[in-house]
Amino acid sequence: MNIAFNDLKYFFRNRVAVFAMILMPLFMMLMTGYIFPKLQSTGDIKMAFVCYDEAFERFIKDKVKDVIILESIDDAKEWLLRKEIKAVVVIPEGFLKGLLRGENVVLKVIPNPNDPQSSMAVSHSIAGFAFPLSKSRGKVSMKLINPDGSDFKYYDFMAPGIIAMVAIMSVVNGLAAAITRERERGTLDGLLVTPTPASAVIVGKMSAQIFRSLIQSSLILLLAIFLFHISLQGSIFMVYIMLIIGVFSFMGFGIIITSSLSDQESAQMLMGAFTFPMMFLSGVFFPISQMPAFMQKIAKVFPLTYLADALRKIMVLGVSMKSVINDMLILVAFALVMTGIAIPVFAKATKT
Amino acid sequence: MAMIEVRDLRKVYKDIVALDGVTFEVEKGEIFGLLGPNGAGKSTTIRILTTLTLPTSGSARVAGYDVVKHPMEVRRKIGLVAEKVILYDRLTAWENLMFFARLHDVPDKEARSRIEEGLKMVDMWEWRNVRVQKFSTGMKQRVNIVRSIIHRPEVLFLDEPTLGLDPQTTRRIREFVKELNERGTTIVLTTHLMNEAELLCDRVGIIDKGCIVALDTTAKLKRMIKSSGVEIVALEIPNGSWQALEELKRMPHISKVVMVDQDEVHVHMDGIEDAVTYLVNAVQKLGLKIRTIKSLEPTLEDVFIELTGHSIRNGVK
Repeated sequence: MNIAFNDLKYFFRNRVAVFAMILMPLFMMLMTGYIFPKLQSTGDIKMAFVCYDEAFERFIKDKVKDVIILESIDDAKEWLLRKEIKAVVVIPEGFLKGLLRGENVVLKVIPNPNDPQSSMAVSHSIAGFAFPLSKSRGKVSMKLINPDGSDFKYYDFMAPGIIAMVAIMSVVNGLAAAITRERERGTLDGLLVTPTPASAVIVGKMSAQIFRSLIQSSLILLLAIFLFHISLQGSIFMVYIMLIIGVFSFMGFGIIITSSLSDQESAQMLMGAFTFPMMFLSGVFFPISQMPAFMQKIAKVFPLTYLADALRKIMVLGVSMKSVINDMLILVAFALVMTGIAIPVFAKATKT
Repeated sequence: MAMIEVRDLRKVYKDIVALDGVTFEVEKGEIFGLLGPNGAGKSTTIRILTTLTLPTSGSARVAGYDVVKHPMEVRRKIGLVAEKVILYDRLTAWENLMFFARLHDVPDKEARSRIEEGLKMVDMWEWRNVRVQKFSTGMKQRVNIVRSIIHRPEVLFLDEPTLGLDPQTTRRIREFVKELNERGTTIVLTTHLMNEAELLCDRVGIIDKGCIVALDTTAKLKRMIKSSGVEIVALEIPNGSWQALEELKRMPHISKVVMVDQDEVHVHMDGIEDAVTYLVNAVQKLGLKIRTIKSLEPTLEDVFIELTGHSIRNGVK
């Protein structure tokens, strides 16, 4: 009893830890609570068609006023990228004829990798819309595909996000641990009495962490490709570039936290209080577009959001650098600002 | 030229005054000791002089450079043995030394010969390829000292260099410090051990509660006590009670009673004639038995007690 009491007292005297302890479950419940109910509603979902069946094209143009008909799959990619549509429905040749004859027809749907759940809803509404046309025994089946024609899996949506998350998390935790450990062991003083500027110490530590995180994300990437056959449409080189920029964008934050808090426990708790919500709000597990508006706004604060978004575009849609330049610039801005703040904060923190 | 000049140094942490106007100088080639109990401000002084902490006010110059304005120049001139061993425990002794040599821009070839020389000097050469985590505290400290002088600093700061070491290693480290000094390195060390300061230091600054209360050579400090007419008598009193000692303190001519050990008491007295006889009578009146009694040469500890009114070890008055 005495030990339990002492443990609690010890814990509660650490204000940061208490703050994190209260914040964490609050965040968890709010987040999950807000994210999930939205799953039910299909709401206003925009889609476009790529039509290889002229008869159907005429038919749909007649029925639906401002229907979006795209020229090719490449066009579709562009639209998906701009996030104006949730899904692209590919109508195969002879679709309408087959449908009217009562044959089994297959519709291919390319979901937006940022929001596969809405795309599922799209496919269902298509099915409902096409079914009355067939009148008879004919069946319309749905297939989710990637732009290159391979099967789309939910994991294709998840994998880029998870890679992004692992990269960022491992770096932040690794860096925090590396700095607090050196400080507690006293070796940091040893570095700082040498004519090595504090900024060099920081940059050195960052580089080591980046290397570590690249090894780690490579492992996940390999696993995802060879074990789960996720799609990797874009260049692997681009994936790495984005990872490095993304990781840099977040490291400064880790340094600021660890520099301003002196003990390892507080630093880890506060870090957790920040990174945990980030995991859920950055669209790694759940599409951002499903979240309520205020959460979408919060999501914009986390660099992970942009990294996950960019990686998805590269890996699933296979786009080039041009299409992710926005994400890239935001991440670079994050990196510069955060590191810019981190170096003086670190230098000052080591001087007390 | 003074190697170190400290002027009215103050350091305030939030609501704690760690240093309250410290002033001293250390000459080139000296071994200078900062002596005081834990929390007196020794480490803070060292941290400011090694550019690890900024002073709140006052100034400090090391090897001619201001520690606040030119920290980089200061760092090139100094070595540090801090309270905590500055070595990475998953690296070997060699890797650690090489790493720090490079941080100091020592050319690799030069570094290799210095490492070999250093490790041989502290008898750690055969351990060079063993990870530091396997070392005992004493072994770590020996490598740690080699690290601190790998760039041949002009001034070496040692913060409690023998803390927690066995007597044998302690002796070796002290010899090593002396040897470095003989080769021309100016040395500043902190200690709470009186005999360490007496053994090693040319001059000692006694620091208490953030102030330097005395600063001189050890011999002069001790002479100061004698000339102030204080007589110090050691008594071995078995089963002596606290209460009786309190009463002893209140008697005339007795200025301080210090419990040194379970049974041993040091009594500071005014330099009256027949001081010892007076004391024996006084103690007997209190009903205490004296096993041994002897008049003491003042030690630095006595100097400390005279100056601060409390013992360095436990603060007992």
